[in-house]
Parts: sequence; C-alpha cells; structure tokens
Amino acid sequence: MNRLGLVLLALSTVPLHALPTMIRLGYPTCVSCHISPQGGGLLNLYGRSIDQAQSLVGGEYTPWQNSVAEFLNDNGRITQDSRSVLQQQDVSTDSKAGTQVFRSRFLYRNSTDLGKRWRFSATIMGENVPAPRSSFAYESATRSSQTFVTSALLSYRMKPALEIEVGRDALPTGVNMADLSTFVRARNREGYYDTASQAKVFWWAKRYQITSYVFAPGGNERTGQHESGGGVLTEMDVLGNRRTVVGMNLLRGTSALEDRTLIGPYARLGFGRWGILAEHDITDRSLKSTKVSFLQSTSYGQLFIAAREWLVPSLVVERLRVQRPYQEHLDAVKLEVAARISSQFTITIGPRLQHDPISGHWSRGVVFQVAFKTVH
Amino acid sequence: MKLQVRHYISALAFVLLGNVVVSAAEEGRMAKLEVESGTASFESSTNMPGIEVKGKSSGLSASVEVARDGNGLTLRTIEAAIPVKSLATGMKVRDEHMRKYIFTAADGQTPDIRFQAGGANCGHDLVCKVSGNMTIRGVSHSVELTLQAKQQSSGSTLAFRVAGEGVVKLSDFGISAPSQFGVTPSNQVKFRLEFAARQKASMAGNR
Repeated sequence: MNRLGLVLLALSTVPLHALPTMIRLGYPTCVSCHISPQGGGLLNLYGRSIDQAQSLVGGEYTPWQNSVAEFLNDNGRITQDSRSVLQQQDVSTDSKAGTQVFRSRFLYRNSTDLGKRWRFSATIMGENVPAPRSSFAYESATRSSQTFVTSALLSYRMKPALEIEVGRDALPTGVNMADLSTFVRARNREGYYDTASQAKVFWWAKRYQITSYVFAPGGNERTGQHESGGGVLTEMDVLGNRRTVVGMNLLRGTSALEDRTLIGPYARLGFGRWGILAEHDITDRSLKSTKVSFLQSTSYGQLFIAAREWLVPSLVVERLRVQRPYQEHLDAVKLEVAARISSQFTITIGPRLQHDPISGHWSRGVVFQVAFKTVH
Repeated sequence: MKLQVRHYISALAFVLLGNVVVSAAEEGRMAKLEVESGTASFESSTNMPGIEVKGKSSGLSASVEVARDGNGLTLRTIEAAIPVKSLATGMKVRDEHMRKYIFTAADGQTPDIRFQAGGANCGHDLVCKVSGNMTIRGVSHSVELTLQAKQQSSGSTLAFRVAGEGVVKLSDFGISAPSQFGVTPSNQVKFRLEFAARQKASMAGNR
C-alpha cells in the first residue's frame, strides 16, 4: 500500500451524519435528535428544530405542511430526505506528484412508521467514485459499489427507552464520529461499505446507555473475511451533568481467516462552548492461516470549540500502531472547520498532515466538502 | 519526632486562638455585604430521557445584611436579582423560547428575577435555610433555599463565598411549561447560586 493511497483513503469519507459534539450542550445520547438510537441518519422533529437552531440562518423550524407534504409523508408516517455530498480532495506525499479527486455522493433516507411501535428505515446511496477503506496485508477492504444500501433496519421500540433493531447497518461504535476514515473506524471494519447483518438492543436512561449486538456477514466481504460475532457498548454519564460520558466498547469477531477482539474505551466531554472526544481501541488479531497474533491500537482525540453555534473548528489528532509482523506506525493531525450555513447546507474544510515515523515520510492533504439535504 | 509534635501543637493553638480573636472582634456587629461576582444556574429535566435543559447567568447581583454573634452568622436581609437577558442555555433559539414562554409578563416586559428574604440563622456551620419570596415575570411566590457560606479571611473586612440551591415550580408563578416538538420541560426547576460577597468599604471602615 503506498502512502499516497493511504492518505487518499484517509481523506475519502466524511459523510457528516453524526454530531457527538452536541455533548457540549448536554445531549449525551443520539436518540434525543435522531430517529435511531444509534445516531446518524434521519432526525426526529425535535432534532430538526435543533439542526435549524444550530445553523447560521437559525430561527424556528417549521415542518412543511401542505397537501404535497401530507402525500409524501403519508400524514406523518414517513420521514424521508435526500442528501448530496460533494467533495474535493487534494493529496500529496513528500516529493510525489499530488492527486486530486472529486467525489459526489447521493443518498436517499427513509424511515417509515409501521404502527404499533414498529419502524422500517433504509438508506440507499449512489456515488461517482467509490470510497473503500484501506486494505492491509492482514485484512482486505470490503467490496465497494457505486450503488449501495448502507442501512436497512426493522425496529421495534418496546418501551420509550428500549429498542430492538434487526437488519443491515454499521456496527455500534464508541465516540461515533462522522468521519469513517479515522484510524479508529477504518482500521476496525467501520468503513463506508462495512454494513454487517445484525440484531441489536439499545437500552438507555438518564445516566447510561447499553447497546448489545450480534452480527453476521453483510455479504460484500472478501473471501474468508465473512465475519460473525457480537459485542456490547456501555456508557455512563459519570458526573450526572449530561456532559461527561465515558464508555467501553467490547467486540469479538471471527471469520475463516481471522479472529479479532476489540476493547475500546472512549469519552465524550462537553464544557459549554468546547469539548473533547477521545477513543482508544486495542484490537487483538489472530490470523488463522499463519497462526500469527498481533496487536493493533488506534487512538483518536478531538478538541472542538463552538466559535459560533454554527461554526465549529476542531483539532483532531490520531495515532496508529500495529505490531510486528505487520508493523506500522502512523501519526496524523487535522484541523477541521465545519460551518452549518442552514439546516440544508453544511460546508467543511479540513487540512490534514500525516507522518510515518518508520519511513520518515510526510503526507499532506486537504478536503473541501459541501453537503446538502432536503428538510421537510 | 518530639519536635514535630510540639510544632503541630503550637500551630493548632495558634489557629484556635486566632479564630477566637477574630470571632470576638466581629461579635454582635452588623455588616452589609455586596456580591462581587455571582452566577446563577438552573436545570430542568424533560419528558424525554435524553434531554435536559441547563442554563446559566453571570449577572447575579445581590446585597446581604449579616450579623456575627455568639450563635454564628445571622442573615438579616437578602435581596438578589438576575436580569432575564443574562440567562443563557448555549442555544440562541432556546434562549429566545425561554424568555418568551417563561419570563415574558402579560404586558410584554421581561422583568428581572428577584428574590427577597428576611432573617435566617446560619449557626456555626454557616448553613442557612432561607425562606423568601421569588418574583418571576411579576408573580411572587415563597421559595426556600439552602445556603452554605464559607468565611474568607480578608483583613478586617467580612468576606464570604456562598453556594446555595433550591427548587421552584413553574406553576407557582402561573407559567405553563412550553413544549418543543414533544419535548416538554418538567414543572420543577432546580437552581443554584454561587457568589462571593464582601463587606461594603464604608461599612468596613466603621467596624
């Protein structure tokens, strides 16, 4: 894998679908604003009002109410939107020639209330250039596709704070940052096309949330890497002020080629205008064909400051360490500025610098992204 | 070792004697304190498990008349005010909703939140149960709060750091909790006050 490719992939997927930075305002869980308790995806009515309030345009959110809207949302049963993400990436590594990629992605998201607390939701995506996560000597990336169902879930809300979901989706993760190209996500099978078949239970209360899940292959894995397993994600608001969430992700997966066990402590801390997101995942990998075991550790730290409600600059530091025989060391720093112009438009710019301490090489890149979504 | 023990005993005696001297000097004296810097914060749960509303103001102003005597500290009068405009929750639209639906009176004005109380004895531990009247958007209702004071040495001037908390019910002030797309704050709102109070310079000179 050349380093240019690594950086390119590292910059390639910023879908901006989750906002763990909302911890700063005392939103410790995603379910406050999102329809699914895992976060990401469509917003509920309250979430849409917060989305509007947190934009430069600001003001009150007024649901679209006319005969066309009533027809489209089937008198409130269907929540849906269309989303388009345009992204320009410029990347260079030391003396090599730079690369420029323009990527456009279109998503249609739908959540249909089936009645009696049942819900079906799905996200279908199309793109001009695929964005697979990196492949490594010990693990290949899942197959990409220009049209893809990133999520299809049947959900049952048993109680106001207890939900079961069955279907195809990304696995639950710790901080749940939007950028799928971060080491903690891309190196732990959390890329854009990693959508395992799964059953999961979310149980949350004022000070804690517990998510347990079992999973099976999604079908687009490479030969021998159809992984099955299970895990549990437990988090708690330590100080009870809804701004100090500390959690642990435990996952065990097994495939024909590899067993992996992941332990990932994480924290989401909010202090009014600023906050810290941190995650450290240690993955013990055992390759069955060679009987080689080694550790991989990925770290993520983000310091963010809401300069304005709509303008949030962040400093992100990342670290990757892989033990021999697949030894790899990478350190990265990124400055990201996200500007939410309105509930429809978000602009993000993020220069990134990556260093390989073993080879001494530096990689530089910058991403400019415009995201648009319809809001009803 | 003996030397160390003697040193500790001497230090303890010095501290105890020092306190007696300070108390004696202050006994029976009345002083008017003014808040130098104060914050008021509040929190309210909602009907949704994942959502709570918190806010803060750094605009707390207050004056307190106190007397130090053999029974500890006595609060004679307390008057405090918080400008509604200084209360912020971190979200502009939410602040606007709060001012509009909670604090705007029938005449369209947003008068300051006020608290007035008479006497309260704080005892030697400087914990005071204060009963007084809180006025929100022009409607007064009795409210109890518990204050914990800590005296701070500041020469001959009386100075305290005070923290206290209480609960108000919106319905007591004729306020209906507003609802935002199904999210409704609780009728009960917890509040907390923290401030540093110091004796007025002119009074300190007369002590």
